[in-house]
Amino acid sequence: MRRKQLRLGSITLLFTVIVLCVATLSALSAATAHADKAVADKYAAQVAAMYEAEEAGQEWLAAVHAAIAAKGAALKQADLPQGTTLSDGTISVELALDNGRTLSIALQQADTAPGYRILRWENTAQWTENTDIGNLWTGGSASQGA
Amino acid sequence: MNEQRVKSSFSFYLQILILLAVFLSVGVVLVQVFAAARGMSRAARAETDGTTLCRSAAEAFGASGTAEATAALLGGTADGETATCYYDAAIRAAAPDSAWTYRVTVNVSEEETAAGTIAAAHIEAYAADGTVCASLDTETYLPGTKGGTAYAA
Repeated sequence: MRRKQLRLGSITLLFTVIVLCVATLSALSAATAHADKAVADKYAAQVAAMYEAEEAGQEWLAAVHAAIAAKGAALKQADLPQGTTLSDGTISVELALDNGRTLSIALQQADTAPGYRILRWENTAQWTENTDIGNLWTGGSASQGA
Repeated sequence: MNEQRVKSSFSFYLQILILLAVFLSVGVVLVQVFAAARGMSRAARAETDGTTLCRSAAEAFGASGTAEATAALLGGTADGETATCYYDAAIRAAAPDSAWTYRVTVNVSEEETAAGTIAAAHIEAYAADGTVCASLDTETYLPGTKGGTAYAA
């Protein structure tokens, strides 16, 4: 009776292929998880920056409201916080923060009560377009051989 | 002849053992990589959910200015200057005695200004195991009667 011989080479090859496949999958899952964490960190940083600007805006609003309450219709530019402009009853400011965010606020003094009307409250972030496209073909004509 | 067969068989099994040892050691390393990736994905999910919940709480606080009103808006409970809300894995409000996934606390403090009050909130989102997923600080200005009432355009 002849025994069928089991060859070690084929087993090694099978194991190697399996290991390579699993290693590729593990590398892909690690890269995906890393990218997920990076996006989560970025999102958290953006939200924190947005509310930091909001805090600055609320503090500015408190200062302006104090000036309006104290001076009423006799409000002047000098009574307002630094960087604030007063023009035709409209009080505005551009609060630029270190985190790249800018909060643009405009108020109007109320006619009757010593209050105010919020005309604008824009929280914006500076965005720099990424123009680098790597080695991607830009669409220019290429010379072709005959 | 018999001795040669025994030697050949021993050599074959030795190679198989070495191959299995290498395969198992590589497997252990790869399992660790998978586990680390899973942990990192879970942390990213918790951070994203926590940030979203903190943001939601900050908007509720901005609309109300007090712990009680914030808790009422978010469907939670208030105890003094602290509002607490519970959420399930799908970020829906959950009961405190249920199997909640996230807990959000809003600690409010107030500071009087010349014409009103600045209410500040420190918001924290916790996972079920007690770790902090995300935190946020915000403020809202509450105009007082002395300065008149503010109204939106």
